[in-house]
Amino acid sequence: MSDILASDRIYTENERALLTRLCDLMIPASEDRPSAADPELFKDILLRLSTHESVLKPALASLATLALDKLAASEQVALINQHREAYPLFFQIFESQVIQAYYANSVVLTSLGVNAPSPYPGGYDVEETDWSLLDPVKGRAPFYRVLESGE
Amino acid sequence: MSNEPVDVLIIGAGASGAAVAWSLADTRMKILCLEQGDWVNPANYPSAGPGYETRQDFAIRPNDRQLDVDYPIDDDESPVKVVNFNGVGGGTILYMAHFPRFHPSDFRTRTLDGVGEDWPIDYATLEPYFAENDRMMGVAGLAGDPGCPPKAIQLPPVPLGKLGERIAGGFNELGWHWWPSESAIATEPYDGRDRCLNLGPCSSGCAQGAKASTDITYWPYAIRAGVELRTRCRVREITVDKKGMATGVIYYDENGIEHEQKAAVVIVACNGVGTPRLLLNSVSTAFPDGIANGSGLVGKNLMLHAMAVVQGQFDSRIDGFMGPIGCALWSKEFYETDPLRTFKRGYTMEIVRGSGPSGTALNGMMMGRLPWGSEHHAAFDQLFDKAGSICAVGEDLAEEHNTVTLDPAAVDSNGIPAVKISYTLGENSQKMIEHAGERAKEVFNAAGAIATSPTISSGVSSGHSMGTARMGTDPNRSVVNEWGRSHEVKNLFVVDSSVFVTSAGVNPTSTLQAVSLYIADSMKKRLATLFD
Repeated sequence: MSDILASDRIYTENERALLTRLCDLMIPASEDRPSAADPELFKDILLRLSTHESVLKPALASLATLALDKLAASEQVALINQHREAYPLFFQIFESQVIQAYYANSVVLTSLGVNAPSPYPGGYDVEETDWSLLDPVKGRAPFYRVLESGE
Repeated sequence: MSNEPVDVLIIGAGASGAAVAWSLADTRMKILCLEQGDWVNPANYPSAGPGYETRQDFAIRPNDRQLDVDYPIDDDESPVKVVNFNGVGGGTILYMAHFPRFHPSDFRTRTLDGVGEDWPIDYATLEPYFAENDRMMGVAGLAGDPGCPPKAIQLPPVPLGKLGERIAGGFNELGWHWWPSESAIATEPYDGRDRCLNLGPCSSGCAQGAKASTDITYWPYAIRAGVELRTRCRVREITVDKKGMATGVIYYDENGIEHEQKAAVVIVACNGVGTPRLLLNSVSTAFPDGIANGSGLVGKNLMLHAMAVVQGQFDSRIDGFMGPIGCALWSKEFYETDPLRTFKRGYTMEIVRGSGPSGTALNGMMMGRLPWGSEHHAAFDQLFDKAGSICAVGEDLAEEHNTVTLDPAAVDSNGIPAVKISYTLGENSQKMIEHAGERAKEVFNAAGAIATSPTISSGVSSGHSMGTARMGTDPNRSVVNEWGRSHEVKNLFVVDSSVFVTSAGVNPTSTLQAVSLYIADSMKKRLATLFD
């Protein structure tokens, strides 16, 4: 059994649908970046959330009672935010895991001009420094404290 | 595993333990080092894989890592949180490799400024050991800094990047000193290490091996010279005989099995928190308050540095996540005491580069600056790669009420009592932090930043633990003498930053390693009379 299948079974179909909606509300698609509810991204998010079911499920049950369908996205977010006080840990975990998945996604990273999911082995080219910047400082006499012993 | 008696037993394989092992190796004595952690495989460092900004197994705080090789540190009551790493290389595995030396004035604060205590040694005494250590570690920088004594530099400086150049321009605008940081980073191939690739997160380990951690600098030489390094061996206590001499240690191996290791000389190199912990845990009839604690100063006078951090926001991308995160430039403009200021001593300003995508987003969300919904992307673009920080590292004065004590409740995975940190920032430090924060904001403003954060001084992390087994000539006012030997136990030495008398306003690794080499050399010069 793969991890993804295992994580699929932790949350019910309705819970997964609600999590998908929350992901899309948190980070919707833009011209060059996918929604956090993009299927590939959501698989990763679901896997990350699979170890937090005891925290997430009660909050999801509460959020499931909200009538979101007929509301505009901004109104849905406002309504969901009213639950932050009651479920602070839910929001902390959910947002943290969505961000970690989203900003490690290759499509997202490419759109940000970051061409690899990790700095190593490629590294980065940092432009050579123009050390003439130091000229004003080079003209300064030594100013560290010289002791009587001559140090 | 043989527990045959050895001539020298070193406890801890970090910055100081490695240096002292290498230096003593040429005596041909039988030398053993016990390290509670493991060797680290650079391929496992976070920067070698996805999720590198959020992995906790290389988090700088042991309380976040929660590995069985770590020991709990209760620093809940301290505004400065303790950072360390337990493994071969110790703190150098996760340090930023910022490598300034203490200044000559740092050894004479009582004489010069009427605060703290004077060291029993001075800069001139340590200078050859600074130089030797620089050669072993490989230091990048630029000679000629008017803010520091002259020195030889091995490697070209770390590039400033766009962020560094913007901030350097700010310093120039104000007419203030700045200089490329001295950094223990191979900017060109050096002594078997390949050049820096500007990966960024040096503080979670260098996957390239360009950063000078002692597992890849000192240790290969020390082991080749015959030193035995035994990992996953956690020392519980230093044992003594009826004459009050150290006889060796009791330690646990990785399976939790207890061993006794005899030694003629015991050297403690466990840093400013681990060293007092071990000394205080080494209780006997001869030393009911902990070994070497006749002065009552073991664990006292803890110094962690007064830190002031200000973040600046720019309106364009600055390549802030590229390049060694803690090494770009420093400013010594406010390092030395100025009688016109309201505080004594001073601080170094250092640049800390920005975060990558995940780090930026997590921080933005935490600060309430990254909303849900259609505005998310625009808000993220305003934050990403447009921020950097100035961190002022300020000298905090030794105060006896700042302590490392044994925790009455918590123990490590071997049942050895853990530690509790009691630490407050003194009035001098508070004034220094306020001053430094305002100066950092001026620099950002002069550099064209569009916004600056409030000064952050509480909740910051520091691996700069110093002063908890200070050196001195008076046995009533110090734990070890002027060459690192316990006043009371003539074959027990301390070689790490615990022996520091003052904290200076710089990162301590260069100086603590110089002190280690100096103590090792002092021992070698006195081999025939070492216990007199």
